[in-house]
Amino acid sequence: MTRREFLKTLLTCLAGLFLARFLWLSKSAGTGLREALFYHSDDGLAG
Amino acid sequence: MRTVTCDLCPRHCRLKEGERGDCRVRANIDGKLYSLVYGKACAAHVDPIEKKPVFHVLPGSSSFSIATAGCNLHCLYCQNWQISQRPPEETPNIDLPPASVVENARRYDCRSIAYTYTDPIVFYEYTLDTSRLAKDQGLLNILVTAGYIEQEPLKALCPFITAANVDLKGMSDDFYRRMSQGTLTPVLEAILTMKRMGVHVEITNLLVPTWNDTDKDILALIRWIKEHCGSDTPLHFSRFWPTHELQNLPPTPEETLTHAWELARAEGLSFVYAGNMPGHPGNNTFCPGCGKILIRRRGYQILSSNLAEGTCDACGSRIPGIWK
Repeated sequence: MTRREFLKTLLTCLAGLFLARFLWLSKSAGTGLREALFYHSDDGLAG
Repeated sequence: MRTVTCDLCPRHCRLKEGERGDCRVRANIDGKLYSLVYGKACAAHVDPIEKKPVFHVLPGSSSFSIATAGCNLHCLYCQNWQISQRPPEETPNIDLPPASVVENARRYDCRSIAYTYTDPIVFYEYTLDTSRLAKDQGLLNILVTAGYIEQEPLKALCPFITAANVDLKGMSDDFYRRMSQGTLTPVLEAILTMKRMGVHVEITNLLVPTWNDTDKDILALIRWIKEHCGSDTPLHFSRFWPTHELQNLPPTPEETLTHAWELARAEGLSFVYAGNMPGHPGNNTFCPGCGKILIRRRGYQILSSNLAEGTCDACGSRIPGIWK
């Protein structure tokens, strides 16, 4: 494998990983963290 | 350092920044309280509604059943401790936002969505949004809970909940403290509030050898239900199976289960069941009017039904529940 071919393969892999991460984040949007109902802070403000 | 207090359950966890509640799924992040598990289901299954157990709502139907990690009680006998006593980082989760839960329920021909396995109280916001959406789309919502919740959040949730099975674990604070690190009074209040707000309530009591299986324990439970909830409230006695921290105990003997079942019937409760023991006569629903078997079951399976639009086809007695 030439240096040029190696770099091309590496860039393709990185692009694939970036795309997978992007898709995963899109799918996860809106899940996980959500501000809770029914709490209060010490400053007296209700959540 | 901004401290917050969670007002969802009777624990009222007071959390400094970065700390999590006793349930492991609610955290103070930068001075605000967050649920960490909104739309992060660690379990999603299609179950028979009888598995909840809910026997008086659409018998034989399927219920799309979800849970997230965490629980606000820590029962020594927990059957699902692998998910209830773990933070969400230690459970395998899937992204299942409320709209996807409803969509999946429809796809799998489920008439209801059950919030179950751990305790929906700790994934309150997820339960509230999903149940609201499900109700809009004609699905029923089933809460399977230990009822360890404060009144205000419960009252906000009840309008969307069709039915609940509440696990009434025992009838003393001492039992609740030792078995679950909880207290009894909030559970009783939750049951009464659900009833008052029109939720169909069924109660489960797990009979644990040497812990809550004396006549005194069983009668206290039966009599409280009869006096405060009414004799037509379904009561499920359930067989304990050694697990988690109570592997030293034997399973509940069949005689104990049968004795509790007979005791509740003799005390005047109309719908008493014996669960976790397929083939027991207490799997069936009997007509309080004529004594005929209305729904014959084996475990979760419906073998036959003699109900016609919620009434006994022999004597016409009306049976409480949601039948169509």
